[in-house]
Amino acid sequence: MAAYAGGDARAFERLYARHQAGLYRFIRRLLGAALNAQTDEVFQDTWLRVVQSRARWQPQGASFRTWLFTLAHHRVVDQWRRSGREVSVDAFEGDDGAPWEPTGDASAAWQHWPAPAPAASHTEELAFWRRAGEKLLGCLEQLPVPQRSAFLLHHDDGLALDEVAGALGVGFETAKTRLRYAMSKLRTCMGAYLSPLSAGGESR
Amino acid sequence: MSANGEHPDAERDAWLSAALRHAPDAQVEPPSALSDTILRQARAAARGARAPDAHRPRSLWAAAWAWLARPPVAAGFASLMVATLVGLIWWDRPMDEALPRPPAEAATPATRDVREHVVPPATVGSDAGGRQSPGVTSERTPATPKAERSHAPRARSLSPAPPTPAPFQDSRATAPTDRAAAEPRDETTAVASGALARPAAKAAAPAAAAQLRREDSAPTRPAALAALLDSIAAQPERWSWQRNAARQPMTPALQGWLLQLDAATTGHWRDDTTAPAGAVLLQLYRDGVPMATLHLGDDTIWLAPASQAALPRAAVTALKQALDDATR
Repeated sequence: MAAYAGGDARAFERLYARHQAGLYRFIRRLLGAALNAQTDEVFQDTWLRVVQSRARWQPQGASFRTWLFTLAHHRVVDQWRRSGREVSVDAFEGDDGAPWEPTGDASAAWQHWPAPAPAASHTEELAFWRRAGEKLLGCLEQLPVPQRSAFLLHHDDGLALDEVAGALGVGFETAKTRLRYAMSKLRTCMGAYLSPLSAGGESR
Repeated sequence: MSANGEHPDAERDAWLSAALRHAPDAQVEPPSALSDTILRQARAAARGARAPDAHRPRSLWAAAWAWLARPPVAAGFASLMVATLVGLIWWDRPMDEALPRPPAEAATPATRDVREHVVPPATVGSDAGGRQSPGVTSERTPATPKAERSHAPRARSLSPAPPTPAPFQDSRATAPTDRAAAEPRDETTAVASGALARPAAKAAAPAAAAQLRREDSAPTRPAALAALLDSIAAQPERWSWQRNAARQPMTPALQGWLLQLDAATTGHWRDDTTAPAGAVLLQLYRDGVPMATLHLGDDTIWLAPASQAALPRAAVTALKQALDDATR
């Protein structure tokens, strides 16, 4: 980024090639199906903010990736507000108590899912995970934006928890709590609809 | 906390992460057109970032131009330019030159102290322009409006007020100053017709004094003649005249004739050092000292040493006749 601020256009091209796919996916998932058509606009606006802010950018301990996703998160929140939807800053809005925690009950459906792997080796497993992924996107729609962003930054984009906190502009514990609430809801959502592979791998 | 309790990241759920990796949009990427647009804009911005470095010396001019374009600075600069322009236009000119003022009035201040500076014509020469009186020293200063304005009330205080102004003078007294330039032609016609030669003028000495003051501002009269008339009107007792016989004191009749002379010649004076031959001579003395000599030729009147007025022969003849009457 410093090289690009100095006028090196190729430095920006390298940055773009490295982060464009993850950023586009993050924006698309954070916007959800309701605002999916705004993905391109938010994506472009985010990168233009990068271009315009190149002279003012200072690392200050945060990586370019963290800063980039922070910009994108702000743009998405702005888009949500412009669309008339209320974006709660309270990550726990709608929660009716402590986050759901997995129990030791071996009968829980998700306990019988196949072991996660970078790439499913079997066709049957691949089909299962695709259904799971499709269902997960639906479950993400039900999360408040703060929890959704915390989960996506942490699980999809690979940011550490402190980086998630930095990207969202909240404290570490807040980010951690948001993440735990998001995971709890998603587990509940996913467990209710997916049958364990051992039970036939069919959606209920 | 991981579901199976084996995941090293307590907050990272491996199953959810796996589901995310297999989601239908996992491989989605921005449209190539959108990427091209973003990259193009980024390259343009990068070129713009290099441009100021390449032209850094010009930034000083740009900064100066930006500073000059600020409204307060621009207004001040414009005011300075206007003041400079006005100053150049009026450079070395009197401030009220644009006012309608007769050109001969510039010499009026020379008549201010004529009583103190009148000397015999034989001892004083005229200035280069030949417009100065032979009996007036060349202590003239450049005419300034302020001096001219201060001169008018002073002349009024020195001259006695006429007890019974003549009708002719009354009508002129109400005329505006701008009419002075138009008067000589009318008065010349009057002299030619003999209207000014009437005997009533002989008894109009006080009125003549007032007339002399007004005529003092006429534009086409030698400054010397104006000074002469002004001085005679102010202190006639100090003046005397001489033709062929002995010198005699100034009389109201001769003052009236001088007024006629002035009225008839105003506007006809020009520079000429040649005295007409065979002319009728009239010398004027102040405190016994010769101050002016008038030569009345056939069709010219010459005021020594360098002023001559060319008149119609009838007008000069009328003046000669009037002079004979006044000095009889």
